Amino acid sequence: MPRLAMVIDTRRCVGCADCVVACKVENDVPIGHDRDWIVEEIRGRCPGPTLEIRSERCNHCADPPCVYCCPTGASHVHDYGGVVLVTASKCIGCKACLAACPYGARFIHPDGFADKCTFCLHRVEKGLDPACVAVCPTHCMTFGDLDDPFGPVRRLLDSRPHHALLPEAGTEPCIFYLT
Amino acid sequence: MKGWFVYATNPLYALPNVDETIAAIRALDLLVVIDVVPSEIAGWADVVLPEAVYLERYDELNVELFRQPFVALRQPVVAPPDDQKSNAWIARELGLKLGLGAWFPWRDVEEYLRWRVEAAGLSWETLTSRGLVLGPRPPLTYEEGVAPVFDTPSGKIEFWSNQLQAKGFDPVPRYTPPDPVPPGSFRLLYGRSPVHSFSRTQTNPLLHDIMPENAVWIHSEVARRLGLRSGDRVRLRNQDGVESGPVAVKATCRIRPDCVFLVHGFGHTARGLRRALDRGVNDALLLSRYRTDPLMGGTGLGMNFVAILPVET
Repeated sequence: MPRLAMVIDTRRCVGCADCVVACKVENDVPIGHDRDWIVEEIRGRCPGPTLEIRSERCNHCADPPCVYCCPTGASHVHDYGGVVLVTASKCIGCKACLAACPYGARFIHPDGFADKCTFCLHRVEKGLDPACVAVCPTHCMTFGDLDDPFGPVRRLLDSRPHHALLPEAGTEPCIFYLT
Repeated sequence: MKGWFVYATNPLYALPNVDETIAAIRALDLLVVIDVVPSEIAGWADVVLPEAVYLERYDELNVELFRQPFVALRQPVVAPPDDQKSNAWIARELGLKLGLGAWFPWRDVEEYLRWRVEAAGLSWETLTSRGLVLGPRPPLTYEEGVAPVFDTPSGKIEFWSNQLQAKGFDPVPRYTPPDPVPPGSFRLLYGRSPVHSFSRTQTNPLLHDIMPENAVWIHSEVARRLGLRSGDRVRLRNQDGVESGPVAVKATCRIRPDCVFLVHGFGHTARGLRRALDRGVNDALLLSRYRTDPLMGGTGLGMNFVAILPVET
């Protein structure tokens, strides 16, 4: 069984937000909410700052606090790929998962349930890339199996410096940023 | 000049010195705007011809001689909702009315495009099914067999140009320093965000959601000195007294301390652009000065300077 993961090359990303638009259209995300978003992080001080542009989303953590805190089991790890999902019909909108997620990846859908990135599982099941990956004009995102030693995800991580977000949170995120 | 047809552009935002543009419009007998956006220029038009959008029409062939030459075709994928017409239909009908029918010897744009494609020896069926036909990659470099001969009198790269000298220019381009920044002012820079296209997309709900307005970038140290923080509202006044509406500050070290920067295309005033109305400021208003390069005719806008004012004044 694969462990689905994404590798995003911050040296290629220009922050055009095509990934955000693609996600909104593909998943019918309501205006005013986002399942993915762009962060521009400046490190260092003038006159020598460095800029990292990141397309962020749910990290589909291997150790997901949003799942552990859910009182109804709506928030769960899917059978396939380790994808973290929400069953809308079971969700009572208590927002415990919003508080537990260190990445701010979740929001309450206007229809009353917690919503977030699904890795476009409906596309992945058909052998397609998630919508954000498919549209990226700079091809900065790579999606695949983290556990496949010869797959593109593992090869990129083995050959390039990279980091995940908030590793100190101990959530084992599955989104990696090449630097 | 008596008449002006403006196609899918917004000269009140795309050109510097808006007053000159408006004076030119007032001197016209006829202004026709063909567009899908109810833009500011459409508000000045005597006649607006609402076009079919790009997903609803054929366009002229896209023939490019890039590294790999290609012919690309834009085709309609949906019908226009209210029978809006394409640019090709508008051009042909106007031509017929003007008695220029001999220049439009085809029934519709599809017939015209098919004729062009087949005259070039390409298959219309291939182009319409694939959308793109690639041409052979021509040699480009010396290593690929291109002779090192250039389109100059000597056939060589000319660092010293006798042609330029004969026309009264410096034979070797000489550096002209830009106007210095007056004290208390900042050089106004302008540019694009990768989210929006020109001044056309600010009302798109998806893009508006991501970037609803522009901000004026100010160097962090300068902002601190002026007592400004990101998100504070200021106004900008340029060297000719043109004043902007309120705009948010973005304090950042991604800019020189003697410059400020605006993303182009915001600060709309057309009522029809409801979502974008009065969101952010229009850089073109503040770019009241420009200079034309005597050598190649390009327009330089880097000689505009703005002072940062509190919103109340």
